[in-house]
Amino acid sequence: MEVVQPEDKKKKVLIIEDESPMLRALSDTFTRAGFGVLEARDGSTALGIALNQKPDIILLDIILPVMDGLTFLKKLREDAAYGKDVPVVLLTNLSADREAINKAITEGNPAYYLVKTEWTIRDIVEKVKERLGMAAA
Amino acid sequence: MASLYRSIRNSLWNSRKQLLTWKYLVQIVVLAALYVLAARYGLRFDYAGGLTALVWAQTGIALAALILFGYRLWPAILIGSFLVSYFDRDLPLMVSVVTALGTTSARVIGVYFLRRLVEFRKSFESLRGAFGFIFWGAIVSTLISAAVAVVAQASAGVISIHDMWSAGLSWWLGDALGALIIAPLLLVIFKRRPLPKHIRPARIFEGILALIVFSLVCLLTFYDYFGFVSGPYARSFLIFPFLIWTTVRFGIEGAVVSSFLAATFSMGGTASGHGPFSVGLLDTSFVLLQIFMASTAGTALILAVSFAERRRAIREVFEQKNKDEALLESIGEGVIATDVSGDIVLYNKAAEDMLQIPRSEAMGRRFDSVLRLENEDGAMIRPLERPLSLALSAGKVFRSSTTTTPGYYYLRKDGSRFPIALTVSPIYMKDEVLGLVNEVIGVANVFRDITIDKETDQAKSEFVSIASHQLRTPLSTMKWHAEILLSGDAGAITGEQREYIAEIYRSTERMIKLLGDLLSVSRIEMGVFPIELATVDLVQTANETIRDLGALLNERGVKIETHYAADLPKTKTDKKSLRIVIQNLLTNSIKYSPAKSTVDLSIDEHEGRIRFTIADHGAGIPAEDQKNIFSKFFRAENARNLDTDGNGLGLYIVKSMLEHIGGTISFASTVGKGTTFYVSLPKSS
Repeated sequence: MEVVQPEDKKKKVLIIEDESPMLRALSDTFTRAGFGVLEARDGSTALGIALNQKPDIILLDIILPVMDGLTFLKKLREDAAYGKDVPVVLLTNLSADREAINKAITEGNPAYYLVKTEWTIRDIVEKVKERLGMAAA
Repeated sequence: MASLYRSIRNSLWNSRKQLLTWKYLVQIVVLAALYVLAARYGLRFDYAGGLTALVWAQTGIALAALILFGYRLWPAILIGSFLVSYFDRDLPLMVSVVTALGTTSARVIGVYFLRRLVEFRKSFESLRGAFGFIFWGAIVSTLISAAVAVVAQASAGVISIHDMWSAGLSWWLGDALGALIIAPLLLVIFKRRPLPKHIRPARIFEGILALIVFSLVCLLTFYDYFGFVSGPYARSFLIFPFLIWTTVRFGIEGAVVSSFLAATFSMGGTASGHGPFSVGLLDTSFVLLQIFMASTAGTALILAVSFAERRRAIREVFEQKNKDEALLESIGEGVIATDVSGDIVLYNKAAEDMLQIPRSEAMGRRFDSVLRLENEDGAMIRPLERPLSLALSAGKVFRSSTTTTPGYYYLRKDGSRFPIALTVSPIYMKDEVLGLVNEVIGVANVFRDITIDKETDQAKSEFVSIASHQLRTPLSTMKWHAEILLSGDAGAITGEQREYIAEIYRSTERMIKLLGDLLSVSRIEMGVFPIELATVDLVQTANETIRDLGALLNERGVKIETHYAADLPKTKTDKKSLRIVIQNLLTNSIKYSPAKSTVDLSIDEHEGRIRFTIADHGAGIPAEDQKNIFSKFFRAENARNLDTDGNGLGLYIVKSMLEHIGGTISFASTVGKGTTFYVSLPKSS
């Protein structure tokens, strides 16, 4: 399913994930699916990359070093020019049953809240494409 | 009477054995001697010359001895009675023997019935005992002995038949008075009582004063001291106020001593020609005197015992009250009770400590001006909606615990708050005398600070969350990497390799499912499973759930047919729990259904509740397994063969979750035909 597209036309996805094996699986798959992939392993670095490079969509883990995902989301939404509206997919292994997470979901308005174990990578890619209005592969 | 016979026989038998002891012989001799001496003293008052005394003290001695030391002392009575009859009254030998036998058996019979029927034990403890003593000891026993003695004397010609009645009456009156005045005195003297630890000097003073005053009153009443003249009878009433004083203040001891003093003084006075009874013929005077003594002694005895009974009852009530109060006071829970108008009538130490509102500021005031109750969000609960108000107005019982959401908080005096577990229940009083039947007379409000419990629950729930995250991370990594290999994106794989990798993928999925179920179970069991009640669109929820099962339906080639009743009411429940319930039940139905079959999902209203019906045409549950299917980790025999991946937690989770949202589940199943599950939910959980 390798899709080759010119660099400038590629949709950019920022994957924020501190677990290397998972980051690699996601990164490889999205690259193969024709995305331009940006990577970050902590929330603070991710925020810099996001505001600089303005990816089209962000995959966000919650438990992260330096700055956790929920704080990242809050700070991102404070940026009126870009961060306020960029779609964010929360991709985590935390169940959405904790107050803090519920609050962040309500306030941070993510596109999706996906629990990693419940999703195949293929479906995650589909969800991202769907959100970006891309034709299904 | 058989038992009387037996007990007399036993006592005779026991006596026979004890005859051998010196101690026993001494007791017999001493008692017999006392008996004779008392009789001789009494005969000094035989002014009528009929060989009867005004008071036969030996009768009282005999009764008291049998009561205190047992039937075995009967020979002393026999000997004493014989000696008195034969030597002091000069009765013929046979008459003396019969009189002695009659007297002895009359005393034994009296004491037997007293013990047996009245359960009299050595002292006057109850009114029943006092009346019993008067009846069996002072009346029945003496009637028997007087009758035997008079009949014996008449048969022997000692007295004429003509005199039998009057002789019998004076004999009986003397005996009865002896029993009434002397026996209680002796019983009181010999009563075993704990030595008082401390007697107040005032009480000793009052005792001596009472003794002196009572004696003085007796002197002026019966010996015409201080210028009183003989007669009239009415003067004898003078001693009653003083008799009541000694009796009420000094109980049975005061009563028997006063009766004894009154008897002694009145006999002495009357004999020496003084007092209210020394009028007219001597015979008449003495009978009047005897009646006076009997009524004095009887009245004092009954009065003393009823006062003692009353005092004991009051003490018991007080002890119980003190005990209850001490219990409520030392209990760790805050206890606050109000009366029917909501005023605080009980406020214990724990409540004081927790609320930091002093008791003096709480007692007697309305509960809502003292207790400030808030909900989770810090909003005050309105007075009419407070559990205590509802308990008062509607008799409603209210309970909130550590898992109750939203929680309740009390405010301390300084305005800070603490979470509470609260139980509020109406106090009912059933009073048949006043005709109140189950009337609410107040409210009991019991609470406990659950700050620590809440923190513990929080910690537990964090632990479960973190643990689940930690376990899921490697699982999702395995799952994704296996998926990438299977997709061929990382290079072509052989058919055999594909099978192996697929097995890894499937096992990972199974592990993920098991982990999810275990987490649900532990959350439910720890009571940290969050329930959020909201209005739920049942049809939409069902359809969403079915959509999620698309992959499984395709894989198994099974169809779901839905049958939703029109106009289903909006239902207030926890959507997440409901989805898990439906999803688990549908998954089971699909997994155990043959290919190309259908599973029916219906939703309708049934008996005022919402009913979900999930029916399949699958394997069915064997009858012997049906009672266990909701048990943790249980799997039916055929289910294990059909689906090796199941973990036996699904139905347990379903049932537990339903319990949390007020639902119930039942089923009907036939092996080979299929299973139908019925889930019933309240319209508002």
